[in-house]
Amino acid sequence: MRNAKHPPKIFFICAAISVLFVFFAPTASAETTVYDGLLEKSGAAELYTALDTDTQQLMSQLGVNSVDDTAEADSIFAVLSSLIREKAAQPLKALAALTAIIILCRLAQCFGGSSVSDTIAFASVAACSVIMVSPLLTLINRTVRCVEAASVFILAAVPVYSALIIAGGSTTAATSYGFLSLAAGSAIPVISSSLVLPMLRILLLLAPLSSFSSLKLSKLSGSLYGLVKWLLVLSVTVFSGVLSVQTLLNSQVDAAGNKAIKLIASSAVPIVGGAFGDAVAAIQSSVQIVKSGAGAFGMLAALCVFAPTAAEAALWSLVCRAAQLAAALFDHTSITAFLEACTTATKTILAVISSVCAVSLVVSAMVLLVKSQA
Amino acid sequence: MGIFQIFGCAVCAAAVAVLLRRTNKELALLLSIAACAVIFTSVMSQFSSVITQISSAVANSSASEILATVLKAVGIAIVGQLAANACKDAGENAIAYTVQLAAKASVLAVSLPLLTQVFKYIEEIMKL
Repeated sequence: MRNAKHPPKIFFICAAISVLFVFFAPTASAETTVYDGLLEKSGAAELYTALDTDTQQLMSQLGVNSVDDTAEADSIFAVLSSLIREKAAQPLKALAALTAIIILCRLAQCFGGSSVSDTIAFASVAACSVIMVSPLLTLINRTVRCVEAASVFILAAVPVYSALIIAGGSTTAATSYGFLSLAAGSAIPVISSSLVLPMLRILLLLAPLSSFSSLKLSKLSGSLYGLVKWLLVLSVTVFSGVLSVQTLLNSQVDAAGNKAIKLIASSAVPIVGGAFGDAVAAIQSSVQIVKSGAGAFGMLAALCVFAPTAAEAALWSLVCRAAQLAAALFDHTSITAFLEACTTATKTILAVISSVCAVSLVVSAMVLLVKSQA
Repeated sequence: MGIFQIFGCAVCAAAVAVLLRRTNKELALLLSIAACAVIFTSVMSQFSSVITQISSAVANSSASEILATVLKAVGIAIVGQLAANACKDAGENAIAYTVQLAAKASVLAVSLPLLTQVFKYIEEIMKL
């Protein structure tokens, strides 16, 4: 009887929640609609299609199938470990074969005496070349494809990022950012085809030649590697420095301009002037969310473009180093010289991958750094 | 044959060969060649387990063929050196030199497919 007269408290709580849900649900839905609309109109939703098929597959393994998807840390580590496991089989077999050749060659030199040792050394270097050159050649081709894929992504993403920065109220910053990033995106394939590929080709050619020839060609390959590394580090540092300083300074200029416009609007337009400023701030907050999502997606995409090739290059570099150590332990000078040149080639490939990956990351990270100014 | 049996066999064969050399040089040479063949066969039977181990490490890959080629080259080098040393023991230095030359030529001939492959790769690199 008491329950019939006085409904329980839970009823009131449920009713209050229902009322709140009825009032706020359309607001949340409207926010989602605004976000989706901004994502669609800015072109950020199309960024996923600008990636190559391999990168798209890797990103779908991470659970990212569009710009607004997020990747979990666990899935990133799981995908990375499976990638390394998948890529490690061939280098490990090559390491076993190289070690076997080094041991057999040493045995032949011990048993066969000095008369045939030169011939055996020649044959063993040829065998090591056959084992190493083919995968390194494939690695160079993959590196070039990665660099081209990164360039395509930068060229597709920069206009979208610039538009988002402009929508966020930073017009000057967007202009300088767009110019510098597009210049980098256009320069990367040119530098790749005119400087990096010929340099890698020379380094790979020097590898077998350094062991067959009596000339000290390993010094030449070492010097070439030093030059390439120095040039790459300088270009990446200059690009990152100029882009970040220019973008941040210009965003401050935009902030000052936007504040002045807001002040004029608030004081010149009576009553609705302040509301106008608040409305602009609300829109810019939505743009900021889209911009952050697109920037984070760009960074993840840059990592996914380079991760498989970087893992492969690192594994081959380790194999070259380990085999070089084995050859040095067995006092096999010609194989040591060959493997040293191979190590230099793999280190150069790693340096190229790291540099272009750093440029791609900086281009995407800059979008996150520029704040919406109202 | 164990390692101490090999040592014992080698020392006995050497001692008998030295004794025989005074009266019959040809027989001493034949004895030393026979001792070499027996010791080499027993060593190779022990060494085959090492080769099997190495081959299994690179099985089912393109490296197994390369390793087979290197093994052939190593085998030729060792047998060639043994033959050259036998010829030197017999006092035939010219034949010993020719045997060494033949061994070198055979090693190069065996490793010719590897060299051809290397030249193909170099050509491929040049085409890039």
